[in-house]
Amino acid sequence: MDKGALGREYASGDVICHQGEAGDRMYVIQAGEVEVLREVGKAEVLVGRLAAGDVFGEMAIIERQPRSATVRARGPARVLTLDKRAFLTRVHEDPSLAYRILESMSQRIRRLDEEVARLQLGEGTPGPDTEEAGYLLVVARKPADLCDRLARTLGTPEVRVLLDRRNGERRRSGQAPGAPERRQGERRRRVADEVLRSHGLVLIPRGASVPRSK
Amino acid sequence: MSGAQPLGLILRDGSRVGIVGGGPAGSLTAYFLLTFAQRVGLDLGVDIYEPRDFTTAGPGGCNMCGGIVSESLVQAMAMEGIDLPPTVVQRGLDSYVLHTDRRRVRVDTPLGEKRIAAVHRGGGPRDVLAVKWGGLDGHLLNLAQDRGAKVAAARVAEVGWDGGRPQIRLKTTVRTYDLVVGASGVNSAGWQLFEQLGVRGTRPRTTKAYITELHLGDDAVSGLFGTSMHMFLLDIPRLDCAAIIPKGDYLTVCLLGQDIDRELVTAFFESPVVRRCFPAGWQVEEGACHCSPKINVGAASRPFADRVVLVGDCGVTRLYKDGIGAAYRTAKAAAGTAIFRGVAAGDFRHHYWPTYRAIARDNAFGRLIFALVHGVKAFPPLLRGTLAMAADEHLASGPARRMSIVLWDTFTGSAPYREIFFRTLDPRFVGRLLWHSARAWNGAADTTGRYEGAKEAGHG
Repeated sequence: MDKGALGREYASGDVICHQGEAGDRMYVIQAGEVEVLREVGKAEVLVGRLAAGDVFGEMAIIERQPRSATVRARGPARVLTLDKRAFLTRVHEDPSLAYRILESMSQRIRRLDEEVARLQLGEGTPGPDTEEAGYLLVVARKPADLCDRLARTLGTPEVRVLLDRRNGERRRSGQAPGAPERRQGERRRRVADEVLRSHGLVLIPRGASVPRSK
Repeated sequence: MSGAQPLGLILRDGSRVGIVGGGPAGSLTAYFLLTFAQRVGLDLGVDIYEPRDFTTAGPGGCNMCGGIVSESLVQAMAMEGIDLPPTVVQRGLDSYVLHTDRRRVRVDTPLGEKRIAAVHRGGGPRDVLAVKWGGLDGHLLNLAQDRGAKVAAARVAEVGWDGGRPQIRLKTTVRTYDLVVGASGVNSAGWQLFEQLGVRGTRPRTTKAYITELHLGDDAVSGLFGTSMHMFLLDIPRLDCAAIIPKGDYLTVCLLGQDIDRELVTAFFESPVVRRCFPAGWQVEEGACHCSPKINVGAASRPFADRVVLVGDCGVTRLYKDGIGAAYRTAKAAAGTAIFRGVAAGDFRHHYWPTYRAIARDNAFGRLIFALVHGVKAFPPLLRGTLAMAADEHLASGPARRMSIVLWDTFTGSAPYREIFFRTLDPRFVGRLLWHSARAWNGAADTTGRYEGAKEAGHG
């Protein structure tokens, strides 16, 4: 460990906190990445990945509930701990300290809202089987971003990717894309399709039914 | 002041703020001003005037400080999203070792985490051969610049007013601002400028500290001092607090008290307790980088006026400890007031003054605690009882580590002095201390952890 590194170092695969345990501290990632895993029945579903600067473990402190997920180091990671009492005291003295947590929760809720809306529209309604299969939803505006994220986040062969092809267009100002944009979009989608296939992933076009896991 | 409207002074789109001083207080004020402005969609311009280059070694880039970022500040900054990377932190500390004339005791952080950052404020001591780490001040200044602050490498020589707005006058340029922030510390002539801008009341009360940087090399620093801050409770008159802080290739020795002079410094280095920490025959190198900076030990009585506010050391700081933490708190409170409330004296009185006054009031408890420390030092059974109680708690956890937590917070600056003081009044704390002191009186508590039992201190 670097002499100047603050916090505690975790080796790849080390569990930082367990789902179901009492939450008496929260964490700030100083370096590396962690993965957030939700245990559903006997399966372990990857629900997110966090990187340096991200905060986790705050929900258990705020809600006074057992931890909702297990967090595990993905590669070597360095994490700083904030004791529950110290955190609450500081937030009581300076409520603006909680702003980043609110910001992060707000982003999380926005992502969940988008996901719920997508599921409600029939873009893959998860049944009990599909929920356990552990789908990874990748949202990226450019194939390069997508490739990068896939390269960083690909897990087991069972993980499948739901690719929302319309995402790029939807984020634009609402105007229909012109011919050059359409051509560029098609080129990007072709590249994305090839990348997905090269990784042995299942590409599920928008509107198609979600296949069940084995 | 001339012609300013006493009420309704607020920052608007296009407003400009001038900050005199680019140390932690100035940089953090800029950082929070721009962060809060971004949150409310305010277009704000911030200029920082700092003549020093914090990337250079020696006095030209140094802010003369022990260079400890306390546990509480490390955590608060982490929550703010302010990273202290290993390129700035020379050594993460996970414990402290308390030295007295008879024994030493080590107290670790919970979970063995490195929660204290040892840094240099600038590029390093004047005899540094290669600048391996960035200084804290340069790092925070870069963060402020990343947020959009502009840094002018200039010393502010004169100030004035222009139609009710403060002006900063350099040799060739004059700039008018909607708010001027004083963040020039206590080792510059900044106060004269702020008085010209309408800040009234008493200036901060100061005393002199002594700081020296000793080059031992990375291996020797690691081997002898490990990842612990070393605190010394020695019976040397006028010495309130002494610390040796291991950094990269250097040790920073910091002596605090009343009128620290050469005689006191010599007495410290010649103390057998201190000599035991170094290899046999080691001597302080002639010409080692050292300074005797003024430190703030009494807050300025009125740190604001219309469109002017003082933050950090030039207003108030924590007694002997956590000066950077006080800079952070005052900077954030002043920035929050300016963005969300206004920049009139009344706004600062209602919304900034409480934070400022809380630090000043807490220092009264600090003085009480250091008086108690002097009392403990003067009564050997009580001192031995204190150390025995801390050593006894080594295997305990949580609130049961009463003495360890009190010592930790006192010497690292991790908690307000008021909180520490009231913890020492807990009947369980008093009872255990008396019990250990009584054993020490009878010689029983001194059977472990003598100097020959260095394992107890557990270097490295």
